Amino acid sequence: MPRKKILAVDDSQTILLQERAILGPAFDIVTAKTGEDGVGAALAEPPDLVLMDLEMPGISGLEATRRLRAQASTRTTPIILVTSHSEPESLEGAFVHGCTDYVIKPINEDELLLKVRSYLGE
Amino acid sequence: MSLEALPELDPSDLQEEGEKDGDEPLARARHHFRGFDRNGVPVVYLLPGELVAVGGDSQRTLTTILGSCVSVCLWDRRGRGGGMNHYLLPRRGPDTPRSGRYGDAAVSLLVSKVLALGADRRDLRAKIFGGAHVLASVPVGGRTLGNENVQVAVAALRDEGVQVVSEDVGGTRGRKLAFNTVDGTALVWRL
Repeated sequence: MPRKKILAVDDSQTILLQERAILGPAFDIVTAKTGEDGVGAALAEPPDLVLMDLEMPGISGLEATRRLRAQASTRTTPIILVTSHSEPESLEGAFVHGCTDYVIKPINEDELLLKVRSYLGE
Repeated sequence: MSLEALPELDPSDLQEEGEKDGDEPLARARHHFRGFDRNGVPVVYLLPGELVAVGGDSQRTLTTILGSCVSVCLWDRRGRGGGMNHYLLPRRGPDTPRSGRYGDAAVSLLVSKVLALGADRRDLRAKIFGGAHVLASVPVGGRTLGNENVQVAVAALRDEGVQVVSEDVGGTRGRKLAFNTVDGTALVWRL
C-alpha cells in the first residue's frame, strides 16, 4: 500500500524537523515554510493530511486553511493546526476556518502521531 | 463584579498529578482566568491535559475547546463540588506517568479530586463532551481517536460508579464547552 502524504506548513525549520522526525518513519512528508507555499503545494499535489502553523510570514495558517477549504481537491482533507497560541479565541477561530483539530506546541510525539493516524483512518 | 474584584483561586482549582500544592497551580489559574460569565461566576479556561476541581463554595464556569479530545464534567447534585478535565489520548503507554493528558488517568483523577473537596460519590453526576472526527467515511461507532477517548470516559465513570446523565460526543465538528461546577449546566457550541 502506498505511503500516505503529509504536508507540514511552518516557518520554523525546527518544527518541520520535529514533525518529520515523528512522522517520517510512517509517512511521506512534504514541507512548506509559508502559508502561500503551503496552499500552492497542497493544490498542486493534494496531500492526505496537512499540519498547519498559525502565525507565518504572509498569510496566516487560518487564511491558508480557508483557501484550501474553498478548493474541491482539499475541501475535506484533514487539517491539524499546530500552534503555540492556546487561547480560546485562536482555537475557536481555527475550527471556524475549517481546521479539523489542533495540537499545542511544544509538540507531544504521542499526541501528534495518534491524531495523524486517526485522521488518516489507520 | 469587576476584574479588579477577582477572587483568589484556591491552589487546588488547577492542579495536575505530580504537582506540589501551592505555587505553580495558582499562577496558572490566574493565567487561565477569563473574566466572569453573565451570572458573575469566574470563568476558567482549560488547556488540553489540564483538569480543574473546586469545592461547592468556589463556583466556576469552566470552558475549553474540543476536537478529538474529550472533557468529562463532574458535579455533586447537592452542590458540594465539581470539576472538569480535558484529555487528549485514551490511555498512556507502559512507561508514561499518570497525567491529565490520558483518559485512563484523567477521569479517576478528576473523581478523586472532587471527592476530596467534599463531594459525595452517590451524588456525583457526569456529562461527556467531545470526541469528534472529521472522516465521514468512518462508520458510526468505528475505531477513531475520538471514539476511543469517549469509550474510555464511559468505562472509567462506570468503574467509579458515577452516573452519566448526558453526552454530546462524536460528529465531525469541534466544540466550545462551558460548564458550571455547582448546578451542572453545560453549554456547547458546535464550531
